[in-house]
This record gives sequence, C-alpha cells and structure tokens, in this order.
Amino acid sequence: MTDELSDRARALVDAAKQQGGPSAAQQAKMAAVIAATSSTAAALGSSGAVVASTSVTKLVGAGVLAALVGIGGTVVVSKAVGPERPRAGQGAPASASPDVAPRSPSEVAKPTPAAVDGAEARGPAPTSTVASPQRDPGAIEAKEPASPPGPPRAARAEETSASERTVTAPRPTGGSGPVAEASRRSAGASPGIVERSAAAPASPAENARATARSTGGDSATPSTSPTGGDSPRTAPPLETSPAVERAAAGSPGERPATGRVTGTDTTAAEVTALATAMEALDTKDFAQALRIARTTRRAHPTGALRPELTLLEVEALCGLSRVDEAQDVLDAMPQVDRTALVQERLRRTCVSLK
Amino acid sequence: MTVLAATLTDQTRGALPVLDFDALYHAHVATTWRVLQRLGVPERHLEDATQDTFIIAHRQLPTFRGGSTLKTWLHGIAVRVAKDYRRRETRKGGWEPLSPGLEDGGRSPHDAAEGRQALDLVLELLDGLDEAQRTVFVLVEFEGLTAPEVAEVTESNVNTVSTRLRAARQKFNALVEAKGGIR
Repeated sequence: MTDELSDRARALVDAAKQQGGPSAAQQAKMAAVIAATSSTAAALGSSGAVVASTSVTKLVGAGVLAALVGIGGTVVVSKAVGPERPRAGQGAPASASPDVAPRSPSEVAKPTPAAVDGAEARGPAPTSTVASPQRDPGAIEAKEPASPPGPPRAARAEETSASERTVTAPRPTGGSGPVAEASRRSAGASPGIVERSAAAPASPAENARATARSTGGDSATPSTSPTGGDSPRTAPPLETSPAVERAAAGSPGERPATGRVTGTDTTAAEVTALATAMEALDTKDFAQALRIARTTRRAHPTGALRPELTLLEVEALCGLSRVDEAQDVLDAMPQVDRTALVQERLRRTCVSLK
Repeated sequence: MTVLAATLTDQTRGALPVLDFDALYHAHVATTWRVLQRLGVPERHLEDATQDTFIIAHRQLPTFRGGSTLKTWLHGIAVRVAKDYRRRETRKGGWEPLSPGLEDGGRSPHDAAEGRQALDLVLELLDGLDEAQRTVFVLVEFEGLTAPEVAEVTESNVNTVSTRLRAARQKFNALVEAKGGIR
C-alpha cells in the first residue's frame, strides 16, 4: 500500500490506538443484556447454550425481556427494541416501582446469595408480591400491591405450573465469563430482580402460559384456537377473541390495584402478547399471530415493543402469503423504528424496506 | 471454552469451528467498542451499538463457518452497525461533541489524559474523512487488517480498498498538518 502515513500522523494514530474501550461496568451491563437475551431465548424453545436455532424474533423479544427484568436495577426498555427507548443509566426509566432504587450495573453484576443458590429461590414464595422472574409465570399478576384474601395469585400460578417451569426454565449459558455469569443471574433469582419482578414478567413463554391460564385458553398450543385453521390465502377479518384481547392489553387482574396504567403495564402487556404471538408464529398459526400483533399494536400505539409487533405482523402476513399487505405494514413503519436489527430480521421475510 | 481455545479455533480456518459466545465476547468486546467509536458512532450510542453488534453476532454465530477470522467477521457486523448508527444520527441532524470518560487502562492520569487527547484529536480528524475512507482507514491503521480482509469486511474488492486507503492516508496526513501544533 503506497502513500504511507506521515511520521506525525503515525505517532498520533499510535498514541490513540489503545485508547477507549468500555468500562468494566459497561461491559457487565452489555453482557447482562446479551446473556438475558440468550437465556430467555432458550426458554422460548431453543436448547443448548447458544441459541443456534432461535429466530431473531425470539432474540429481540428476549432482549426486550432482558430489559424488563431490570438491567441497571429498574424496569427499562432496552435499546434492542428501538433506537429511542430509555435505557438503564441513560434517561428516565419506565419504572412502575419508584420505591426500588435503580442499581448500578456493577451492583447488578454482584453475585447474590440467592443467585448462588438458585434452587432455594424456587421454593414457595413467602409473599404474593415477591416472585422471581424465573419461577413465577404469574409475575405480572403478582405486582398487585394488595393481594385479595385466599391463596396469592402468584402462588396459585406456581402450583399449577411447577412442572412446566421445570421444563421451560431458561438455562444459562455455560462458561464462566461475564456473559455466562450474567446469564445465570438473570436466570436465577437475584434479590434485586426478585423485588423488581413484581413488575417484570418472567419470560415471554411463561407469561404467555400464565395469560392463557388466566383466560382459560392455552397459548402454548395456539393452533387449537377456533381461528387457528385459516387458509393462508384468505384474509380473515380482524376478529379478536377475548383471549387475544387480553393477551394484547393484559388482563384486568394484571393491573395494579390503583387502576393506573403505567408504562410498565403497557410493556408487560406487550411482552405477554408478543410471546403469545411468537408462539403462534412458531406453530405456524399465522392468523392467530397476526391477530395478536395487530390487536396489541392498536392497544398500545406508542408501546415500546411497537417495532417488534410490526415485524411480527409482517412475518405473520408473509406466512399467510399476504405479501402486499405485509409490504404496506412495513412501509408504514416509522423511520425511527428501522434499526439495524429490524433490517436484519427483514432479510428473512417476504418484504423489504423501500 | 477459553479465549485461547476460541483463538485457536479462530485460526483453524476451514474447519467447522466450535464457538463459544462467552469467549467471543471476552476477546472482542473492547475491540468492537473501539472500532465502533472510530467509525463514528457517537459516544452516547457506543454501548447500544456494541450491544447490537453482539446480539447480531450471537444470532449469526452458529452460521459462522470459518470462512474468515472471527475478528474479520465481527468487524463486518460492526461496520454495518456503525453505518446504521451514523445514518440515523445524520438524519436526526447533529453530532455530539466528543466526550471524555473512557477507560484509561489503569495508566497514570497524565498518560491517560495524553492518550485521551490523542484519541479526541484522532476522532476529530477522522470526521474529516468520508465514510468509506474512514472505514478502510480505521480497519487498516487501527485494527491491523490487511487489504483483502478489509475488502471482505466491506464487501468490496481489494483495489477499491487500496484506493480508498491511499486517499484516506493522504487526507489524514493533510488534516494532521493542518492542525499544526500536534507534537
């Protein structure tokens, strides 16, 4: 290569070469997000430490969940879901529990007794308002500050889903690095996460099941829904079943006793709906996935997971061979939502950004 | 798998690698951060961009077949992510001033300050290059990639890379000279 750098320029480049780099806290935070992504993706159906067979839908959806379980110590929306969302330590968190002080990434990274002994944390919940994201499919329900008399809802959910949890619990990745460590923490029951989990769902899959239980349906087998047998060529009207609507908006029982709908409620409801829709997509029940995605988007037009839901809608429409509609939906996607991840995912669909 | 093992695997081109994301992250997170920074990702987005890079890498890792080194492969992802961030930043109409606060690597405050100054200046000068030139320049001068490797990362041919590198060096030299007072 000709035209080398001048001595002065070379000296400058050399001086700057090893400068910069993420701090340990930043590394830990990023590792936690990525690790939670991988562990949640595992819970969504892939097996093994690396989510080799996991779709980007799951990954990004899981990335959202990673944020929800509280990277940085509070409920936030990860950058993974859009370019303008607040992140831990950067901007106002959408916390529904202001009494829980945000923790630094290093605090999040700090091993905790419960994290070390995750098995113990899987025991019965001492109160209805404390539930780990790992073991409590009814975490959303558990955020009600005042539990009604009788068995706590979270406890009831736990009673009915112990075997499922055993099967579907996210498995942390192997290894001993920060990613694996953070994965174990996110999959285990860190006290900090336990506290926050009152407002944070466990995993999309678990929440989907919890939602299905609360609605009497079974989101794990969405193809059994009455509308599950739509022909791919037909364009079914957007009739929403009560189950779909609840999945989109969150059941009334999932709202805080105050009745005030917070940003976290919205996101939690979106995550639940997203998980249900993703399961429907996985089982090739595109019609059901489409219904849930559309209903949820309408219910939460400014929701944090709007790009995800749009993509899901596009994927469902592609699955139904409704390419033109899919393209229309994509064209209407705001520029701000067209992130690198979105574009990456679109490569596998029937449409592309114009 | 240890970093060493990952490195060894990395060097075993052509063979189906057994990859471990932990090792990949360990070995390349700092480099990726620096590449993104030098490619013009604003300071406030570096964490996000790095995260995005590794999330994409995480998804694509199982499909990595050793056609290139892991480093080159990861740089390819980083270049695309950086491009995306730059484009969005430009669309929003503005670049933020360079901000301090980077890791000083445990050196003395004096050395760290000098190093930081050098980095700030380099980043400022790099802003004077166009995107294509900057990408080639950063990958060659800072990351030590060869022209064929850069061609692979940027999905262009080697001649194009050489031309861009020559132009980038000339321009960078000129920018350094124009600054004058650089020691």
